[in-house]
Amino acid sequence: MQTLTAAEAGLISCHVCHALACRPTNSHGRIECPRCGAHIHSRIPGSIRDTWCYLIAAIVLYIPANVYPIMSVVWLGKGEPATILEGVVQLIEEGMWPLALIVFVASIFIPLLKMVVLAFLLISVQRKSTWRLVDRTRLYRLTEFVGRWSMVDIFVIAILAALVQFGSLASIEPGIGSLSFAAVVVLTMFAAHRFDPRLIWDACND
Amino acid sequence: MTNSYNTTLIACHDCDLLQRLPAIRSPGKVNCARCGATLQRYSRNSLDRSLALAVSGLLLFFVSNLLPFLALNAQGRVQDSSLLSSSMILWQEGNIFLGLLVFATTFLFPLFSLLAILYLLAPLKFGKRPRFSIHVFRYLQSTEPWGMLEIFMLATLVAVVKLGDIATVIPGPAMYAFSLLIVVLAALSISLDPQLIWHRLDRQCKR
Ligand SMILES: [Zn+2]
Ligand SMILES: [Zn+2]
Repeated sequence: MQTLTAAEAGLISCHVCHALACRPTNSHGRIECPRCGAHIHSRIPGSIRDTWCYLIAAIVLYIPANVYPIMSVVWLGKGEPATILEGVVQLIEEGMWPLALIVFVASIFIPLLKMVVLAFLLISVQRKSTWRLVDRTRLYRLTEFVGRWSMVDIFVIAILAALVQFGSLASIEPGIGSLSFAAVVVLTMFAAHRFDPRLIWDACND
Repeated sequence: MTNSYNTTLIACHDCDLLQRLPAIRSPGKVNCARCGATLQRYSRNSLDRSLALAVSGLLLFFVSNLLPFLALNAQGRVQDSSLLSSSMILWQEGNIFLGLLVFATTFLFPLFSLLAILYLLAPLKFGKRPRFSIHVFRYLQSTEPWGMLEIFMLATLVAVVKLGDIATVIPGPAMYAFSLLIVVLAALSISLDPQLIWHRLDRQCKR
């Protein structure tokens, strides 16, 4: 199998419209896609630095997201705030296994998986590892695909809050935890978007 | 700077491998030979089908947002809620970031996608090129992951089951429209062929 990459051929692939443009020899400053006008680049500029920034911000915010209550359900005037993990435990105690599983996967497993995988990909790219290139690319695509689903818990809080809003019986208030958690989801989505998987393959082209 | 570009070759967006596209477009996916990424997706009658799906999607979107979505019956008190009330309540309670996030992901971005697809495809169907088409299409592609209606659907199911013990939850008419909307949006994302749209835009291009 011949392996010629666009970069080696002196071409730049537009990330928006996928047109292949020739890289000008005196390339100073920004290059625009001849077809759609997007600013194009052979590799995302500052990809590793930016991804690390978003990722570290996400990891830092992940702590308050788990320590502080994600929402408090006040039922007939009394009630206590619960964190993400306590919410899952409550669901298990009430026998709602399928729900507990959904919340566990979306709110605990996926964010952790995503942060660990992104850190692993960044470190392996920085070390120019040629280990399991295809699998690492698949891992990247997986994190990019599943990341959005962590929003489930935020939406659940919003729906519950809207449903019981005027009820004097109960009220549901989002806590600091949910704010931090939403920020973690958004930041990891930015991080995954900023990571350039072509860097994984550059290690074997050098 | 040269204004030329090549569209018979494609570089994989995940591994940068250059490869030739098949000359005959048959329905299905074209995957990267090296890393397996989906390079292109063809579907039959992509333009007509996407247009029809986008029109029905827009209608369902309005129905879902205008009619009551869920009602809660707790000890004789009935509380209606609409799709938008979830973001409104967060906003009112001072959670501006959360309110905006829910509003953008469940209303703004999905609505923009549907309108943008209609705006692009309807003129292209009649061989015309809408104004600002390139900008609209670029924004459409970059905002795609931020429309989260299908995730909201899962959240609705979770919320309904969670409230099951303490109150009766009655699905409103918007709930049925919303479920259909999710199916239509999934079909739309499969039938939409970005490369076909770029080709059409190229052909209509008068530089
Ligand atoms: Zn382009
Ligand atoms: Zn590839």
